[in-house]
Amino acid sequence: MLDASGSMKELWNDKSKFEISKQLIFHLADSLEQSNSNIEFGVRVFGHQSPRSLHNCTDSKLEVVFSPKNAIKIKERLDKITPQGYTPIAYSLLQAANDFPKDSLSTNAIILVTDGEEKCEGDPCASALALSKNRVALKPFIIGLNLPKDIVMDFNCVGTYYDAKDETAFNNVLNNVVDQAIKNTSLQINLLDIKGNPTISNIAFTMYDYYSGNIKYNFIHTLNGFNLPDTLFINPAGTYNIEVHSIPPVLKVGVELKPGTHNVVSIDMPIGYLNLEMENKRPADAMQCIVREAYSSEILYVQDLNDNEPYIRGDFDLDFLTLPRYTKKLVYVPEEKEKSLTIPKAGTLQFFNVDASIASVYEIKLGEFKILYEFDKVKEKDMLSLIPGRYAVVFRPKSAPKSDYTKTIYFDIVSEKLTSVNLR
Amino acid sequence: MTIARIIRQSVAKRTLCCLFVVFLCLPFSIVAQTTSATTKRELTRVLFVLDASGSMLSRWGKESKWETAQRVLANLSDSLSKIPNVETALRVYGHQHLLIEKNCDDTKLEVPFAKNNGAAIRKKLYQLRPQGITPIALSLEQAANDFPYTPARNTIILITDGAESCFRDPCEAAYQLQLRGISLKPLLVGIDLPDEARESYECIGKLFNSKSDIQFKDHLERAIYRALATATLQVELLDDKGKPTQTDLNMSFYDAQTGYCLKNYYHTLDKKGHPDSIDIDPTPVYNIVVHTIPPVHLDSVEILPYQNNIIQIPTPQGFLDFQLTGADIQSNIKNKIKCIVKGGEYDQIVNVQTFNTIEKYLVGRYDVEILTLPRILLRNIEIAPNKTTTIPVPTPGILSLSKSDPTWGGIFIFENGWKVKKLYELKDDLKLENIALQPGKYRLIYRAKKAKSMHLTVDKEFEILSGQTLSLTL
Repeated sequence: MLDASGSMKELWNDKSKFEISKQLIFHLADSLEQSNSNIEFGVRVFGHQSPRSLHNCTDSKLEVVFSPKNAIKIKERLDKITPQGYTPIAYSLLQAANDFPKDSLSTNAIILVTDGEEKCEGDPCASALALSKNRVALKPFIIGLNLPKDIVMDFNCVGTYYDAKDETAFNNVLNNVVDQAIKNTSLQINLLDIKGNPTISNIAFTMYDYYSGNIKYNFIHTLNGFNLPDTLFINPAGTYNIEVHSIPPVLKVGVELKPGTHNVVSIDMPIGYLNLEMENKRPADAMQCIVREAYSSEILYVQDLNDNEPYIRGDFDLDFLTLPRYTKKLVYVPEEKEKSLTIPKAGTLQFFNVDASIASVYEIKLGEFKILYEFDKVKEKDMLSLIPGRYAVVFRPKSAPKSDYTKTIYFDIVSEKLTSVNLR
Repeated sequence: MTIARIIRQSVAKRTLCCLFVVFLCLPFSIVAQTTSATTKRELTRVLFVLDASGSMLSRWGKESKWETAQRVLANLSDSLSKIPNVETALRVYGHQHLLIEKNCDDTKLEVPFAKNNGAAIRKKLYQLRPQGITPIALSLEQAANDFPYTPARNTIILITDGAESCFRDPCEAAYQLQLRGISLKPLLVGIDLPDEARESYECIGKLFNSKSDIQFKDHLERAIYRALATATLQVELLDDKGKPTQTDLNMSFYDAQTGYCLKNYYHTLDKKGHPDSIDIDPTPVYNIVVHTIPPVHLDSVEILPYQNNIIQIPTPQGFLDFQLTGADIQSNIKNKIKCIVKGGEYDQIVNVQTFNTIEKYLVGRYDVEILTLPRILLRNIEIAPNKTTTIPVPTPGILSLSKSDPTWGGIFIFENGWKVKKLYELKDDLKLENIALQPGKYRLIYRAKKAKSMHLTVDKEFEILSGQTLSLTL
């Protein structure tokens, strides 16, 4: 994609920038089509059809369409073009999406050669994003012909920027960029279900540099239009650790990419679901459950009740933060299935304490008293939400300060029912 | 001080507590003196279960075994009816059918519980004739219904000269009585029991086997003495300096044998600041639990009868307070954030606290995990005696996300710059989400559901400020 705006007429030594660009592009295409039978070029030019004074913001045209061995055609075409107009970069990028033949097997790349900034109030960033939705997975390479620093910044979101200060630098950069585009290293990450099919997706993962441990990339895993794991184009010079952000995370260490090929990495993701419910729960109830891997004291996840969350198959220990806490150990979440646990809806304890008794509530489990709550002596009336079960209130009236006057009242809490206890 | 040490300390103290025992009463001589002047007796019921099987007719010294039992029991019943708040009853087995009939249902409550029924028992004893077999297990089972339902201290004294002869398990029957809280272990008075019968009763309870009529009288008196024994108990809950200043804690007293909770006592200091005296049944062996956080257990406590017993249990406590340090936020957000306190012997969750509440804990070190996003884990938080440990937590801010399209993704934190950790998975079906996050920098990594390329993943940094709402549109 070549800039043919008015400023390209400017001279670098004795040749115009446009002249230099033209020659370099031709030489590149010419030498590559002889050494590589699997490469095709197309040329889109902008700013060449209308004079600058017309401010034509749609002045962009695919001058040479993709086809094998078209270097001569490119030369002939470019020779007929005179730079003169405006710089509609965003518009050109948008148009470029349709320049590529609709052949999903090819790797499509854009090399943008420009000496100026977007002049048409378009957003090149948005265009680049749209491009990547449209088969052009590689971020555009931008070769700037001696651009001022503030303009360079604008291109950061568009793609990878290279600066060329003179003809020699331009030549080097162009070769380097084409090299990168051709020697394309791609990576496909298959997240396998238990049948070994790559059906697991839509989950975040991080790629760390194997040697430095630095965070390199974060992606949300995606299945493409063919329901296959989408292909990533990343820096081939690297060995990676891949961490899939499941619960618990799954780590694949030391993934080495072979440059210039399509790399496939498979990671087993035996995912099942844990569904925690409370009967007839209102959203306001906001109950939570602590999930730990079995026998571990470290919290893995805190799940809201009435949520259904994916976990990697395994045994988990659960602590529901209800009153009383409800502990369930060694809950097995099987792959591809859902494990459901339902907590019965809480009931309400209402108590009256006109004698300002010192009082506490206990859960009775296998005859054992477990303290749950101490009442505030000052309150004459209070409410407490408890899950169904057997309980007791133990109290001693303020007016009878002897241990012997301690009373124990047993009661049952039933879902959604009110149980009243009078402390006297 | 760790909790484990407290528990070990209290056990160590317990061996000492026998030395602390203060003798208030003289050793007893006869049953009628068993009422201690210092304690009021709770209602006590004694059920005599008497063997009237054929073998009771055999000679034992000058009389038959039956005549001895008749005479001694009748006299003791007379004495017992003079003690206030004591009721007696009589169940007899083996008296209604001949031995050859082998009737295993031959058991009957002859005199039910009532006050002053010494005369009634005497009269009934002289009407009966022994003749049949020995259905002890069934007698114990049926004894459960002989006691009125009102709460009281219920005891069974079983008088027998032989083993169960209906092929059932008296131990199981006795255990069931305890489990149901009807009575404690029966006391057994044996009349010249053969060795194998003695062994079969070991599991039931304390056995007094008599070799002569004089010894039988002595043994029956001792059994009654135990059944009626009273005692008082003072529990000293010690602070960190070993002073009994801790109070207002509930203490559960369990029967160590059955695990049944017999009594709860809210610990009380009297006007002079001393632990008050509790009237307590000295028959069972107790496991005591003081309901601090975490609870303190003191197992296998034996109470000496007719004495004031003093037990010392260290329960030094301090306070823990979780405070939000920034501007106040909506109470539903604040109350949803739970503070988990772990510790004690098994390093388990001992309590769950919310913000701006102060709770009491045993002194020691605890791990605290606050369920904010991200979670805050603080290890070895010390609770010192009578001091409040305050844990300041920055008030969270709110991320308000609105999504124009359904989105996959989550909120991540780059821990130390090198570890990506997921904190929150976006709800893909919600258009608007409000998420409370601690102040700090986060990453939002997401992709529209309809986007079919991984390169469309957006990785966006944002910063949450305490108490403020940040609105982002995806």
